Amino acid sequence: MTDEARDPGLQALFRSAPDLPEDAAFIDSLRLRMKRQGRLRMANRLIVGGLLVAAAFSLQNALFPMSSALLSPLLDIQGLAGKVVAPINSPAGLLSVVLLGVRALHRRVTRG
Amino acid sequence: MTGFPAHYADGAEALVVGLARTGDEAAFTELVRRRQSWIRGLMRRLCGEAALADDLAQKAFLQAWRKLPGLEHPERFGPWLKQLAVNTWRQHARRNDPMRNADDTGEPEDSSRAPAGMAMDLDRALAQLSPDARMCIVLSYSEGMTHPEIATATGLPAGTVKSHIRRGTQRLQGLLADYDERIETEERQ
Repeated sequence: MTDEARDPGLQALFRSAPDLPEDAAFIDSLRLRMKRQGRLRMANRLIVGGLLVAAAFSLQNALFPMSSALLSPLLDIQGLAGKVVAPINSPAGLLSVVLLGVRALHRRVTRG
Repeated sequence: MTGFPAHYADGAEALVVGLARTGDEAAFTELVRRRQSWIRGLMRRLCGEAALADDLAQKAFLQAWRKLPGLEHPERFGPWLKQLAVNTWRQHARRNDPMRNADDTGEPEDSSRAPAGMAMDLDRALAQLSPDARMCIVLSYSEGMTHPEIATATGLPAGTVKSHIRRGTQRLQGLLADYDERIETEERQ
């Protein structure tokens, strides 16, 4: 007798159990639940979508002043000199130069 | 049933599954029509209550409808659906039986409910087993699954499955023998 061997009496009992007849009410009820589930999923998607749009607007409102501040000139330099130093004449430009300097320094230190 | 093309009833299951995967509700309804008897029967064996079994069967089908687009092999729809049904039953059993893990022996949860000689049929006898033992027995005897297949489907260790089936079988034999004796006595009288 192997591990998989089944008791013949029980096996016969299980086999003799009649199949359930097709139940139209079961299917109709399921279809109703599917429709309800579909509506719920749609409502959830609309809510999540609305939240994302609202979050995007809030983020935009916060990002716009930040980008303006980062790009505003640090020094009021007129003429050709102003145009030449324009790329670094802002907090963003200065930050970029500082970051490039730190990176170069880091490379030099780690190589040495 | 109305509201879906009659020719779906003649289509090969893999084809109907393929259509249902694209969101064709009528095709899915046809799959439900074909499989509902099996899944409802399986759930009835597992939980022993017709109304609850139908509710759990519907939950399994609802999950199937939601997850069907992710089914890679339409020809594996049957085993996949059975797995969903088993998961649905396990979730239900976990939620409704917090002491399940404390009783991992396959013995009845409340033996006072099964006095010796009490008339009982197979469903009543199954109801005396712990949910995990019942599930292993049903999947083995009713679904013809092997121990490794049951272990994979239920997430239980193979040794536990084997133990549940061995002890569950012994327990059922005892309960049903009482039932047979009672029937024979009644017939003699």
